[in-house]
Amino acid sequence: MTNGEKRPMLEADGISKWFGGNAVLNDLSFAIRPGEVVGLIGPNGAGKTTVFNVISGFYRTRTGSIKFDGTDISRLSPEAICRLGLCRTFQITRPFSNISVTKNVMIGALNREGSVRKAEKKAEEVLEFVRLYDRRNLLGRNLTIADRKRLEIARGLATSPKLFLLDEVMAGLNPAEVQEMIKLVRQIAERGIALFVIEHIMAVIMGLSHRIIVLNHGEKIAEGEPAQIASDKEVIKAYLGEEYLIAQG
Amino acid sequence: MKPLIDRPGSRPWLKVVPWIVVLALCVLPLIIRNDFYLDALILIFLWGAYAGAWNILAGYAGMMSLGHSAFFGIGAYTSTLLLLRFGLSPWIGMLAGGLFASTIGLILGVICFRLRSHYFALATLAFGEVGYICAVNFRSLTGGSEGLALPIRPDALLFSFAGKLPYVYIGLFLFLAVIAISYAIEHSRLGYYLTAFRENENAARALGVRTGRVRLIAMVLSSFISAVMGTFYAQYVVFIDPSSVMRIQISVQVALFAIVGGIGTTLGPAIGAMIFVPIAMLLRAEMGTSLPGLHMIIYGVILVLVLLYMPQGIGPKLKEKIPFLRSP
Repeated sequence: MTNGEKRPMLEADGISKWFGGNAVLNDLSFAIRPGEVVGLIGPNGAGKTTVFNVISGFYRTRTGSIKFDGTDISRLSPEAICRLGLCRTFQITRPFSNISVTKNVMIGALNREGSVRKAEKKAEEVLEFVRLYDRRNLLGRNLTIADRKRLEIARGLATSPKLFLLDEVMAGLNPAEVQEMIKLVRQIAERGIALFVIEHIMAVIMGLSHRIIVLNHGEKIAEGEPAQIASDKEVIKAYLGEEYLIAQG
Repeated sequence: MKPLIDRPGSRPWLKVVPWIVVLALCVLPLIIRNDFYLDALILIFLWGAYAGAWNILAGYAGMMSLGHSAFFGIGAYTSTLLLLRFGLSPWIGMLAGGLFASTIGLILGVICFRLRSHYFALATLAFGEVGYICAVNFRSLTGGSEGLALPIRPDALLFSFAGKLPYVYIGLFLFLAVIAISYAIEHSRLGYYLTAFRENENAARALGVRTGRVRLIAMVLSSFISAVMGTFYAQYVVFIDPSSVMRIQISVQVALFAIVGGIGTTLGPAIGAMIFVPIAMLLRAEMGTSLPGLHMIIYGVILVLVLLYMPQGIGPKLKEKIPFLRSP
């Protein structure tokens, strides 16, 4: 495994989440090391976004613990967790609609910067980096889907995360935009920011990740390097059904 | 057409314009000798500042309060009672009322922690009504519906003056102070955080904004200033009763001024007051006997027209139409 020698920065140990009588996550454990890119995949309803919501503080885990940089974050609020350096994007983008793109990003930047002026400078740097700079004066609501996804990323990056959770940043993009986005995600990883990525497009996640965690019905059914995952029987069954395996012999 | 672009201005000479306006406002009362117009100025300043206070909470933080009459009333009653019972100067009473109102605001904010938009508006509406009922029924304290008359003994230390001019300048000071506070909030970290909270709370939290704290700060600031304006009203009018300082219509009116002027903008509430106060005064003076309450109908018509044709308010519309205004 890559970065095997480093201590994990995020350790989820036996987390679970119930909605009413349904276990959406059940006794899930995993770890992410600094600088690592980890993919999180699974069929619809597997609980991927729930994992993000639990880690980022929007949901409380019912059992177990979540440690980030040695701190137990399982009882902290989303804002406190973000301040520790763990930021997330939303699958359904949530731009601040009535303010400019720059101001959107400044709100993230104010997290670390001492003054509004410095935050503005930082925001402009980040916008440059995600290639949204020429749209900086548009209002949040006037962006296209692709640009909204970029804005989500820009805002998160502006908070200077050590671990960045990306929730389906490629969904709804056309093939050209997907290529652009892959490039961007790679560049973020090159900056040394650890990434935890939910993605539906298999080719993308296989190419990006150092390691992949597969979720089904709220449980981890496989974990390993992309090549290992691609040939894993459990994974194929979860995605394509038992009949497919039988037909393949 | 809604503006597509939110562009910061770049004409430095325009920075002089606000100062010219301020200077003009300072000189204006000296030129006007007519008590009726001075009265209009005072009421414009009073309502402009009060609407500005409402706007901090409703405009920037997006928490539509319909109970702001209670804070206004708390200010008026606190300073007045301290004066009547203990002879305490209303200058100090103004501060005491502000602190009392912001404490109540803080408690209300904590209680309504989970309430959003309509539900928050309903809760504050009930809160305002509770304030009114208290003022009517705690007769031993507030004098009930008969109200409280303040002594007329001109004394600067007791916030009491013979002519209207001192009130004009105190009003002007408060009016400009609220605009300055709004401007400062809008350009500070707090303003950005309030906007983020208003636009999307979860997104704000994901970016590290302590939304719970930020909204309470807005609550405290807004209720403090509202109470200060209540004291100013009491000292100027020298008579308060539940229906003049605690009535639900006051809450509605203050919201109306800010919404029509331009909610969530620095100058919107002031613009609203400049439009509505003169209309109300003129109609009351001209038609007060033949058609009392006509101004309420006119208010309604203006509100409907503004919401139809410039839903963001008159202030932003002016900015859009007159490029000259677009900078500061």
